Amino acid sequence: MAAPRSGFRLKSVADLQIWLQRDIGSRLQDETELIAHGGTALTLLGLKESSKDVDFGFRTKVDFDRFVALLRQIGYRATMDLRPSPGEVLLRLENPSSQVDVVDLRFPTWNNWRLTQRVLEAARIIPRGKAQLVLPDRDAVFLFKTYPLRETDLDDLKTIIDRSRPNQRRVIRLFDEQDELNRAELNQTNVTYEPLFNILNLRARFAGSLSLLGDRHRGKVKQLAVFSRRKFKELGLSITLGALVKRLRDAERVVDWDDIMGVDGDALRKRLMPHPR
Amino acid sequence: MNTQLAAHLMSLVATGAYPTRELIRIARYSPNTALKYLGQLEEEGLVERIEARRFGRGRPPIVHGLTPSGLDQLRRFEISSFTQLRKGTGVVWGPRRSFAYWGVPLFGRPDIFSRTELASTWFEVVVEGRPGVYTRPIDGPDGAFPRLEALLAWAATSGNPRYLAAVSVLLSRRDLSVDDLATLTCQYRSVNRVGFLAAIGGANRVAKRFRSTRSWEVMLEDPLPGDDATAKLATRWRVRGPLSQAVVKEMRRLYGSPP
Repeated sequence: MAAPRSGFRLKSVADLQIWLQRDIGSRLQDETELIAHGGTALTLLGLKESSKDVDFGFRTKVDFDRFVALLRQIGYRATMDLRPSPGEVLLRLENPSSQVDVVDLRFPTWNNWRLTQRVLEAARIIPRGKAQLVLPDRDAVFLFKTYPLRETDLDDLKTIIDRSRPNQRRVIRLFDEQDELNRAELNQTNVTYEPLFNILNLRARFAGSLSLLGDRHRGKVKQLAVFSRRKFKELGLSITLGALVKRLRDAERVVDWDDIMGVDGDALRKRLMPHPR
Repeated sequence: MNTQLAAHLMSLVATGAYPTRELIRIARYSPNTALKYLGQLEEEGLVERIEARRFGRGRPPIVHGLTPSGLDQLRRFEISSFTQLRKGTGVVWGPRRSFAYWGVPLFGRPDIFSRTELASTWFEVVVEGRPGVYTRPIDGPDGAFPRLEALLAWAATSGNPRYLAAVSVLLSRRDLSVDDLATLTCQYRSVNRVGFLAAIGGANRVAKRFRSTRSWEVMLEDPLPGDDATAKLATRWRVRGPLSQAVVKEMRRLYGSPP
């Protein structure tokens, strides 16, 4: 018969808060803002369980570097260093002896989403010593969760809908803002990533997530479902949403957006550029 | 002070960063009662008030948190409440707490498996009428946990992607009794789902021993488009709505290979 592994126990928000106060906030020399994301934000909001990795995003490189330096100083080691999308850093740090043993840090975006004033306007800032924990509201977390298209994230979306249905108008406003930020960059030359790909990614994933929720849950957020579908249709891609979602969900394949847009890429870019007022 | 009420409030404080008003709402006590107890818990150094701020307009909320001694106290409360419940109703710890016990810790609320709905507990209740998880549990100072084989056979039927991914991680444990698991998956009608999760997670000892049954099993309610490797395995194991290989891989990377 299998025997339990010693030393493991269910983790709680209290563990996270105490860790932030005792191990982090009391050791930081300067105020450092860290933004709870993904499952961590959902857990802090009391909506859902999450896996053991704790997700934080940063708006400034100074905060990101300071936080990484402190974690290294208290025994965390980097076990993953990725660029999930151009311009975005994802760093995983681990310390098996800590109750918070896996910390995932992203800068300056989180899955391409930007941490704008509008996103954060309904957030709470919870001071833990010098650590300023920012907890975005349910609607921002809902929108951000539409990116990954994984089973776990779709299940989280369903739970949010069941337990605390999002304010659909606010989610739409937040999406529009992100979309417009990328569109405004379409004619800029000094960007390190392709804003057109960001637009395609965000629109396809947003519509894809809503389409995969199933009738019962989609029916509860009809406005979002219709809006996301319209945003996707506006792109005028020759590929169907279903086929594109299948490609995006395949972790073994990299999506070639040039191939998906075909010869119509330039026309699409022009069409999405904001009109001068 | 009513110990159960205090314990309930502390358990809520431990499971979310709630502002006072929200805490009162979900606790379902009168504001006077909740505030009185919160005040007493603060005086005893078990709960702390944190003055939060906002980026936007509005009154800055007060958020509550447990102190380290509050968390220790809550853990003692949990064990004593659980022990009482177990004596009266035969409950065992639920999936979330059990996965942690077996080596896949999650963040979340403590939960229990119970044969019937329980109105008077502050644990999250997972109603499970079949005997598997209650039979020959591991009983220790921290309470009674389902055997690993029973937990896995049950979790394969849960429809919860995180639990399913946790199953795929734990199926590789070398001390898992494959015979027991086979018996329990027959009871839970999860033979195909467990076989699939073993195959997709590389738990060859289980995958080789299991044979798919004739009837199809549903793993996730809303099927998702997936990669070809997942689809092929799902057909081989007669599983509809399978968990994708990507989620399994991610979970294995996070929790490592079990001993």
